[in-house]
Amino acid sequence: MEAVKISGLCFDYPGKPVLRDINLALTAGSFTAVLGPNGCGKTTLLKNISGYLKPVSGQVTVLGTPIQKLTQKERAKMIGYIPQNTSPGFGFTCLDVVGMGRLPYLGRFQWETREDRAAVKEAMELTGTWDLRDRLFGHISGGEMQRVLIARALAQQPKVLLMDEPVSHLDIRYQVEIVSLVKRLCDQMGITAVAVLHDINLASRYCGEMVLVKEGRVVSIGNAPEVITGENIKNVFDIEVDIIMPHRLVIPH
Amino acid sequence: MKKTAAFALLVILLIILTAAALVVGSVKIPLEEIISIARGGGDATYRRVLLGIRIPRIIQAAVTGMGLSVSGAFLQGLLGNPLADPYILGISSGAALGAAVSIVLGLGMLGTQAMAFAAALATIYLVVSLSRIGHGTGGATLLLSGIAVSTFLSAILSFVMLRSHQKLSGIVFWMMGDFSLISWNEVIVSSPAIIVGTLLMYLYSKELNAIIMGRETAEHLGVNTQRVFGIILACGSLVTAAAVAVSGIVGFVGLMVPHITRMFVGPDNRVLVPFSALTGAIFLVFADALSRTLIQPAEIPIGIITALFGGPFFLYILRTSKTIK
Repeated sequence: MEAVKISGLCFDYPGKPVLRDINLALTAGSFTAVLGPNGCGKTTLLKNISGYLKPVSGQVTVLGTPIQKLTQKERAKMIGYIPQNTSPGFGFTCLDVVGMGRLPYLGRFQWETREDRAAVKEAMELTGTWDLRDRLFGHISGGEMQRVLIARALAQQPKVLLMDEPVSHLDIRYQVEIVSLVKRLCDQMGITAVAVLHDINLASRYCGEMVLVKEGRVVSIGNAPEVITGENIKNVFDIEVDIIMPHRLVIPH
Repeated sequence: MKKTAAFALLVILLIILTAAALVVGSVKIPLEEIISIARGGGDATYRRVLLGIRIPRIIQAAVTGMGLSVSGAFLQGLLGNPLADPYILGISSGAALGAAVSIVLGLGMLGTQAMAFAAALATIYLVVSLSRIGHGTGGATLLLSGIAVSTFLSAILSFVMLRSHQKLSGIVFWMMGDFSLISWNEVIVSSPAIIVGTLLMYLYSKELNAIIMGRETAEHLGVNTQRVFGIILACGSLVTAAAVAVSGIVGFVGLMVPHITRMFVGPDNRVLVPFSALTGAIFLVFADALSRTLIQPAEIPIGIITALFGGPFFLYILRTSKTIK
């Protein structure tokens, strides 16, 4: 089943075209990596999928519903989004931060119910962050922060999880930890995840689907062997690579 | 619940302070007199001072302290800047100028409130826009544009006062804040606006929590950040303007109170905001009582007292905060 479908999507910032004729279909439970050079429109693509940005033409549907037909709160119940930059907060604890994931479920005068607290606890247990709950969000390591942010997104009980460079500032151990965590969530909970990644090796190892973007257009879609070819890498990143395939995996160097 | 108990304790503290504040001043009213006045008797002079001057003054001080503190808490969160408050961002100066001009033009009390509000809104809009020019999303740019605009508006205010000193009470009143001219008329015009503005802001505490984590984050948690920004800046301006128009510029309350309160109750605005409101009321009732007693029978403008606490506190935050760069 298609969880996310993007058809004919174009997006411009004032006076500057960014995305051109994007067509994608993501199956439920898949984990897709979006790859491409800086400034090619990867972040803009994520924000169009989340409904934060409104496309000039074309449309995004999530579970069959056009995303722009939903209210902002309805979207927040379907889509978890982790932006590239998060403020360390004015002394919020990790529990506070994950608790914010329940915001779309609360009425104007309502505090968290037992149900909300259960959802928060579950999200923190799934991401191994329950033990961090009383620590200050601003005081934990980068890898822990990223896991807490994933927990917050899970507390929204989303069908789709969008992540903008979730591992860019992390060392290799945390990179593997975060990406394999997301993979596990896709497999176990049927969440459809999309992450902007820079590390082609990491993406090849964990993401079943890859989307290669250049200058606002999709150059190649498919699994790692289909997308990660010397020709494609040369075309998009303008560097020569050798593709080595250990255990049928593609690792370009 | 520890926090409920703490809140109750603060309410009791406010009641005790208020009782003490009723007693002290250039005319000392003994507690027995206050009780007999409350029963409908008592000395006529004492009665006039208590009911006509002291009670409205204390109410206005408490409401102003509440409103400025809550505005400070919201501005700090909204703008992501621990040094934001209505005074430092120039909203107070803008409101004071608006009020002064309308007094010179003879627009009456409601007109003065309206002008102060309009000028406060224009000022915050100007300051926030200025801080976005160039590469300025940083905290320092916002503070500097606030200080620049504030200084500029204060200069115009001083000039207006020099040209029309018959109509305007002294420069000290406007620049340093003063509750000595408060009567029931001022309370009736100003306090309801402050209370309404404060309550409206409080309704957005949850949204403010999310906005503190970043605007994109908040948007994806279902918060219409542009609307919340508009509502909070408008309410903050309303509260500041209503306060300044009747009592001049009382600085630093909105800076200090939320910070001190945050140290005790944490950053969740659903808790922080009511605690700040109460602490702010306590602080200004206390500062006002000090202003009436320290150099009796004369008065020290209350802004001098809040600035004496606030100046060093500002430096303390500047030293300890990691987010101002």
